[in-house]
Amino acid sequence: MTVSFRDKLLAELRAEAATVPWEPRPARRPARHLVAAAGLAAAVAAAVAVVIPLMSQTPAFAVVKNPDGTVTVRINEFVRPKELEKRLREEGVRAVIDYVPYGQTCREPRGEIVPQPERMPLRRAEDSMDFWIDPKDFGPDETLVVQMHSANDDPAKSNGGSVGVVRGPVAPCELVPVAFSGVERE
Amino acid sequence: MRLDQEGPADPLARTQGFEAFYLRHFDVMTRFVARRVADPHTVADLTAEIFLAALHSRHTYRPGQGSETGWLYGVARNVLSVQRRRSEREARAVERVVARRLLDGDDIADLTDRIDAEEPARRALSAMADLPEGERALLELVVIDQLTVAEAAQALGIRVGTARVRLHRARRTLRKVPGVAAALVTEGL
Repeated sequence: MTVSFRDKLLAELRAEAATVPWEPRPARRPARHLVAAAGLAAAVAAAVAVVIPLMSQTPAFAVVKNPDGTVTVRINEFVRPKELEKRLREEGVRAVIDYVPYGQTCREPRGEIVPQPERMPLRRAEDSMDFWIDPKDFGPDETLVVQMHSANDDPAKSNGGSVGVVRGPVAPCELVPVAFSGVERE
Repeated sequence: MRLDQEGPADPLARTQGFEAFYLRHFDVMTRFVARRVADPHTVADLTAEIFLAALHSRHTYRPGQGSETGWLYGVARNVLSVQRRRSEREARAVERVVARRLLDGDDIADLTDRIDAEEPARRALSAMADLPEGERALLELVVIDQLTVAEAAQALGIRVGTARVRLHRARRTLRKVPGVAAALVTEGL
């Protein structure tokens, strides 16, 4: 009896699933789901959906260095990205962050994209609404590049964005209309 | 039956849960891909990539916040749009599971049947190609993929209200396009 594609793929996925951590997940406060969109998403194909924490309180963001060297980031409002960059730089993370208007995006490529980083460079904390970054994930000439789309001029919301890693210089964000990707068409 | 309709249990919390999730959605996902790609090898690769992406981004699924289906279609759309953008060379560089090597003759025949069955859907999709992206993406998910408006909104990361407005607009636009079947415009809206 032959084994169907479905079952063969199941075996492959089972092997892959054995390589990922399956920690228990504590209950979390609800957060909005936003789907990562264009551009650098290609560099992080495995990490597809980005969940953005939405808070009504100021300040716009908080950056905390953890004892293990990682950096926790909470974004409350999508404003003043260059201040966030500076703050991250102080904690050893070289990042380029742009909040772009809805319907626009940064012209790509902005540099040499590091394909398929070993780990998602900007990770959602397991038990809270924070992101965390490990500076050790980046080579000396690598930069975390984050682009978030604002949602209809509401700074507390985002329509998703993209995350990637660029090796060497990162071009400034030159806004262009979104070339919506959609899906394969015949 | 969807686990997420039974309560807040997280179907993706453990490896057995993921396997059950895969088996629940395998047929639907191969058909989703077959509506957009007409080559059985590519259908196999993309189906594999979708479930790999689901595995690696499983922590972004929130039980009780929308359905598994809506979440998975969001993942699937991203996989397809990434696939469409990258060049052949890049595609080879990033592929981890090249699922086409798993296919035997029976599998190819089976996938080809699915692809053939989705031919009308592929024609309908190309009829919608000129709609603005936001409207087209929604119409695809609701009319072609038969998602609920809420699921489609979840897949696209937009509010249900926004989705309803866009669908209304898309329907109005399509009515003016000659040659678009009336069923496409009204069904499911």
